[in-house]
Amino acid sequence: MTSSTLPLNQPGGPRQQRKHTPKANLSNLYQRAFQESFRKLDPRVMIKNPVMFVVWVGTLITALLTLNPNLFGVVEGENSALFNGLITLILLFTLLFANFAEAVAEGRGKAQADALRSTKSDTVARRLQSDGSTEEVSSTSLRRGDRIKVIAGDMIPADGEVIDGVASVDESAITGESAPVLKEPGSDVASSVTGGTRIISDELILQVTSDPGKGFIDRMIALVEGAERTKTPNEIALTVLLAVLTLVFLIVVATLPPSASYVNSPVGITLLIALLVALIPTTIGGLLSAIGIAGMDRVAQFNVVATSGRAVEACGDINTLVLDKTGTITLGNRLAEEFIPVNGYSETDVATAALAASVFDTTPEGKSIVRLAEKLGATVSFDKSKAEGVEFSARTRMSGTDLPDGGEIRKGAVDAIRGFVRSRGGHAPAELDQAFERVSRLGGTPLAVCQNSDIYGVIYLKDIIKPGIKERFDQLRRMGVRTVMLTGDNRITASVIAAEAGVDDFIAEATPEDKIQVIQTEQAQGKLVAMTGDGTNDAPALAQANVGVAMNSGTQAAKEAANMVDLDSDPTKLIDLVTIGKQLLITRGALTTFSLANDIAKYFAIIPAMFAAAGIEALNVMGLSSPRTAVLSALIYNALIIPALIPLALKGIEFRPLTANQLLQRNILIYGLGGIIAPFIAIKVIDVGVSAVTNF
Amino acid sequence: MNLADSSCPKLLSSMLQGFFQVTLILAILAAVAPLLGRYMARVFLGEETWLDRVISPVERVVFAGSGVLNGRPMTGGQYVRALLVSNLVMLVLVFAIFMLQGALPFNPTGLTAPSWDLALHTAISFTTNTNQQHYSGETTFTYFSQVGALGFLMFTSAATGIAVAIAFIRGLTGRPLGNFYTDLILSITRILLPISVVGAIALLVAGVPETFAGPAQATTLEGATQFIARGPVAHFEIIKQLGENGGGFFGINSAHPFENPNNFTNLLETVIMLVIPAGLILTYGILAGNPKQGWLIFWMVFIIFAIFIAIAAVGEVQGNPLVNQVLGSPQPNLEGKEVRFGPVLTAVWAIATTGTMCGAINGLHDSLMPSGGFLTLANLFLQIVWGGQGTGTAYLFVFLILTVFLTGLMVGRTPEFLGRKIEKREIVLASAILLVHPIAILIPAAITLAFPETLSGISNPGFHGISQVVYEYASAAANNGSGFEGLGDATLWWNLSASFSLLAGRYVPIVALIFLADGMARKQPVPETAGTLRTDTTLFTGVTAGAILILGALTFLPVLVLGPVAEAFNLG
Amino acid sequence: MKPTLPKILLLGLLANAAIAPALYATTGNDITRGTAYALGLLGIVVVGLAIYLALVIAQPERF
Repeated sequence: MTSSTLPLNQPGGPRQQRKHTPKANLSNLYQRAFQESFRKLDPRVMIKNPVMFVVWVGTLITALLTLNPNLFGVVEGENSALFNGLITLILLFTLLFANFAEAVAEGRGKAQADALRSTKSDTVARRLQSDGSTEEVSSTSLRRGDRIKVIAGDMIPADGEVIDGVASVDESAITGESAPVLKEPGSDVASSVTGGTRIISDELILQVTSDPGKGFIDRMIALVEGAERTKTPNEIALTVLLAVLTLVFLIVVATLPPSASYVNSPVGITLLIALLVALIPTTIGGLLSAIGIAGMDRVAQFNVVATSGRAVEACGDINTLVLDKTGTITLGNRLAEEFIPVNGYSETDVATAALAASVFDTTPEGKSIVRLAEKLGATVSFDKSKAEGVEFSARTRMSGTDLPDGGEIRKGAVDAIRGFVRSRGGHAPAELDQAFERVSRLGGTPLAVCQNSDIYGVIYLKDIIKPGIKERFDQLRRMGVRTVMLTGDNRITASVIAAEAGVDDFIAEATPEDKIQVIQTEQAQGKLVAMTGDGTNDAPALAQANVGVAMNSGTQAAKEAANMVDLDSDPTKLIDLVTIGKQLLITRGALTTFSLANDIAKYFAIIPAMFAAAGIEALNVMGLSSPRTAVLSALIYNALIIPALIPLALKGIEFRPLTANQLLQRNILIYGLGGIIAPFIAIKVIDVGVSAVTNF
Repeated sequence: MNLADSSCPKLLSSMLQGFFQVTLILAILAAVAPLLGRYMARVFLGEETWLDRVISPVERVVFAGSGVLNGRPMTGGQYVRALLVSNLVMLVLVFAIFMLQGALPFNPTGLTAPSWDLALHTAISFTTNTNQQHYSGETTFTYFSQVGALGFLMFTSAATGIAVAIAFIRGLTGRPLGNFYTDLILSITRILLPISVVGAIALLVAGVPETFAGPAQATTLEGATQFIARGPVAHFEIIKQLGENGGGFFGINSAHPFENPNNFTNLLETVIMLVIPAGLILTYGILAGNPKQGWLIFWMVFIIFAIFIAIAAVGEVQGNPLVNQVLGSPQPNLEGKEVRFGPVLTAVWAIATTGTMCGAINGLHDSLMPSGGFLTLANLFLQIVWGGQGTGTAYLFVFLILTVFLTGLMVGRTPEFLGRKIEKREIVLASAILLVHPIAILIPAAITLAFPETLSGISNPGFHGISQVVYEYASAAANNGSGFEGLGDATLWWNLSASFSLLAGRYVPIVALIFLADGMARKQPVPETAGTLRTDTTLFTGVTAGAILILGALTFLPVLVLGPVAEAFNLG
Repeated sequence: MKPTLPKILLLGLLANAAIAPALYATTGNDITRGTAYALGLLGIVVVGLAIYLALVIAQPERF
């Protein structure tokens, strides 16, 4: 599968091609699935699927009846070994088709898993000994808690936490982002590394955080391979319903012989089994597990690790999406667009100050400020090696440089800088507010720049809203999902961006604590909330959310708290996950409806054939040529519909962002009404074929 | 056969007359049901009603100090326990009265105790609001047994059903279930008794007798002396209809001229048996705060009901093709009918009585044409074309829940009904209800038909015999009580096997419903969004109707094919 | 004692030893003794399936 099979009709065309989407090797898939479908005939496997197990028992009995047609007594006009044999064969194929569906789904999962495994190639790791020396070991022998050393050019052999050193790491293999990321110990986002990424400068000492086979990719592998597949709540409820229908029809069929004998129209056991198999919901029974497995595969194909199928299913129920602005709604990197001087300074003065404040800033924003400043002719007028960078922190909300001469240059949120200036004995001019407002109204982020107590001006960081995001939010709204944008921006900027992107609500100047509060407020109203996060302080919110998606670039704590990890660190993926979750449910519901609706036609095929002696030929509305061909045709249809629907089960029924009522109308027409009509036609066609080749 | 070229204008006029009568009944129903529905909502919401002024003082005296009028809300477990225990006590009490009736007062004809199994079956049958009768009332039970024991059960069993329906609706809408005893008393004093009093007086005026005197003696034209059974009929009759009890004072039930003497009483009795089940649907809409939902379901059932009536009536009016061949002209089927009601009104009654689980009859269902037989059986299987006292409304919701589950999945969400998620527990409980009919009808019917000589007592062999046997168990399991008749059913086997169907058909669903409601009430409601499937739309209601017919038809089609369908084809 | 497949099969056969002769007796000469055993076994299989399905309904997680 490629990203072109994206279920949502994205106006901007398919999502950006991911460079590394592992290509699953699908050769041999069908051959292996074919073998597997025989292996699954083992009763210990069959008993896991109530509907198909009943078919299995039925097949066994008809097989016995083929060997000895009079096993259960003589019924006139029946009991031909050939007929019984044909029925047995068709039932066997019904079982094989169902097993095949499951095997294909599993096989795809396995292929997907293999492809994932291959991205994690076996490398040589330098393990640190207790005496400080290193030994070269295979990456597979690394254990949680081991310390390893990686140097520039190495592939990082396992998930780990940086404990020493500073280095830049190319995470493009996982994130698709080509810019290298700075890794160093102690900080939230920057201290965790993922196996399979490459260190491109300097060296790091890492502590391995997962045993081999327990890393994120391994977790995903286990899930798509079906090893850890447990039934989801809706799947369980549906299983109950299918078991009940099967039991009802078992009773209906088992109680039929006395009535039939009473009116001197006795029926043979083969016919009864044929009726039973035709009536019980074999179509959905045979495809149910394939649908579930395929759903997990689709999630995996989106490069998302889900810790459980339950989480995927919950995605379909999401009422509220809590999204960070940056990287989700806007392109991750805000770029410096303009310097607005205040206090009588010139643009060049502001540019010079901004450059000075940003020389140690490695964030994309910082770099863009440097670029713009240099373009405007600003130069660094101090000795960089004697100056000291001041990191941005969520508390101070500013960063900057301490100059060799003791001057303090800062840039940051306007009120943070205002506070800083005031603490240094200065005051903010009125122009600052005007500049602040101007930038905010443009949807940009204003950063104030100051040196000591003197404010130089405002940097206009331009935010670019991702193309097509508004349409996606519109779709979500039609699906009944509310979006809430969280941003550290001021209210004005936030409201401008919110209006432009079309989110339903926003929280400006949000702290990480606000996230968890938003989630709790929504949940108190009974809503299911999904959110994305990456920092350690997102962990409680990720755990609180019903669906928490951690970015792979995020910290270990965030990843552990979340129930999904996005290997591409692409927050908009939540929207796709919602679609996948819904597709999963729609496919199950539609195929169940289809399966039940089919019963009407099967009744009209089999019942007149069964009680031909009772004088009810008029019920043979399809004009099937003889009772036996009628039964055979109905069963052949019953068997063939399973492989016919395998592609639909694996791909999932297309989900359109419509309201629930429109969706129902559409699906009930296709799968309800279609399910009533289609088999009438199909059975008739099969009957024509069957009566042409047999002389029944 | 073609009606258009019918050479018989009488047929056409009887069709027209029938059409008028049916329309009148349906119109009255559509007018009265909302009034009663609103009234019942007020009663169970604890709001004031104009009857309070009359009844409250009486209640205060009768139930002084018992606290039963303001019982504390019960949990699901407590509710079920209260219901089962109180029903068991009533059952034992009534059984004892039957066995001792020879020694008890009001026994002018000197009747003795019936056989133990008949007494047991009758006691169970009346406790479960079924009133299936394997006897003739006037020659088996004394006035005391009929009025004291059976009359008492007619009120309590009907009230039990209403209480369950109200508890179920409360649970679904997230309220506490309420107190069983309080609702039981309220159902009797605020709904059943007042309507009964007014109705009984109306019947009395229209000519239904009400006396404790023994049978009347009359001398026939031939000079022979004939004893004409009579008794306190009028009040018995009204609660029989209103409470969907259906157990007649006389063996032939409302076909008897003392139970249902004329067209007026027939109209009154037909409407009376429909009003509570029909009204309860609207009560639900009001309690749920969504009257539109109530109305949609009401009209859905109304339309199914009207279609059933039309098919059955046409079948009866067209008559039996075999007979018509002999006569040389089409004649309505009048076998087993009271001529004063005619084919159409008998058909209406048959559809109403089987649909509402009333079970009273004004003509023999055994003699209905196959289409009528098919529909009366279908009514019993479905149990929702108005449905029984209270329980019918609840079954409707079980079907709604199952439909919500399937359609909810189809719109891509965990299914929700009234803002509450439908999960495994709900499906298991709803399924238990879905399983009751196959188990309680098909299994005993199969056993009976497997031993036709020893067990069945069928009067008409062949396809019709299957209808007779299946009808008997369907009537028991659906707590309907009407008989296809023609069965020699006063045997030990019939009494005991029907008792099983009666109990299973009554208490398994009730227990499941209460637990279902209890679980729903505890769920955190989910807010409605554009992604929520609305259940108060015509589309959803239509899908529900389809699901009901398919689920019902799929289950019982083979039996129906071997019974009435085969019979129809063999007649034609 | 945990019910395993062999145990269930054995139990079914034992039950049939009681059911089949009874069946044979009631049907008289209509069927042979062998047919009676086969039908008895069939009946047990049907009842077994019904119990199995009831178990699935009660505890769907196990399947």
